[in-house]
Amino acid sequence: MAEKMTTIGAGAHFKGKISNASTIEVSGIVEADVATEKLTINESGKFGGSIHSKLVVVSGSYDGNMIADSVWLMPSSRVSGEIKYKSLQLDRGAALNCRVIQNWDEKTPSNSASEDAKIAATSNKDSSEVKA
Amino acid sequence: MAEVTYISPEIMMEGTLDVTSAKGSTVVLAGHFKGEMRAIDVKLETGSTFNGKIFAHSTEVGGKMNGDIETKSLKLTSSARFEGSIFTDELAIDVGAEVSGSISKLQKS
Repeated sequence: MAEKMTTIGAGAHFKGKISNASTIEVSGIVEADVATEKLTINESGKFGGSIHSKLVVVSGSYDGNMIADSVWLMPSSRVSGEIKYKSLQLDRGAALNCRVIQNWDEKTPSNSASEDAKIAATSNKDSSEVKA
Repeated sequence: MAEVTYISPEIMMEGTLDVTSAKGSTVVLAGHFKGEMRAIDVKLETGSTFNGKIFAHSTEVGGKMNGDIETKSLKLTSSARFEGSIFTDELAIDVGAEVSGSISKLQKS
């Protein structure tokens, strides 16, 4: 983990796709689909697009579909879209305007029928989004 | 805090990167980039690969690049492998750099 992390500086605007990343820090604007291990969206950062990551820390704004093991939403964060997570920390002040789903992984036992309904609803939603 | 956009060695980025606003202006690429890059200062480090176009004020190439560069001043270091078109007013090429393509002055717009 000694290698330098990728930084999208304030004032930078990237649009496209990022792959094979390990650590990314966003202070600028990113519209991209990203697969990484750790992603930080700083206060000045804006991120739109899908995220697949182990850890996501949001201080800035995010819009999109996020799939992450751990999600930490800082007080200044503004999130819309969808978050699928295993553990979530939501700080006081964080603006959360999105769908949140815990333990989306089908391998983890869902203990109630409502959980299954939720998953079904999600897949319906996903497919409708694809059509739209 | 200096606002540098840094792209680390293992990463692959595809798309457009625009770093011409007042807040940030420098891009350092150590990884792989495909697409278009606009910035004030661009540095392609040894080991990096770039496919596409660069528009910058000053550019330093030490990696492998395929495409066009439009920049006021350009430096190709000894590890540079360049193929494409160069438009620049000030050019420096170090011993060892491999360059193929065309070189011309910037067109005044």
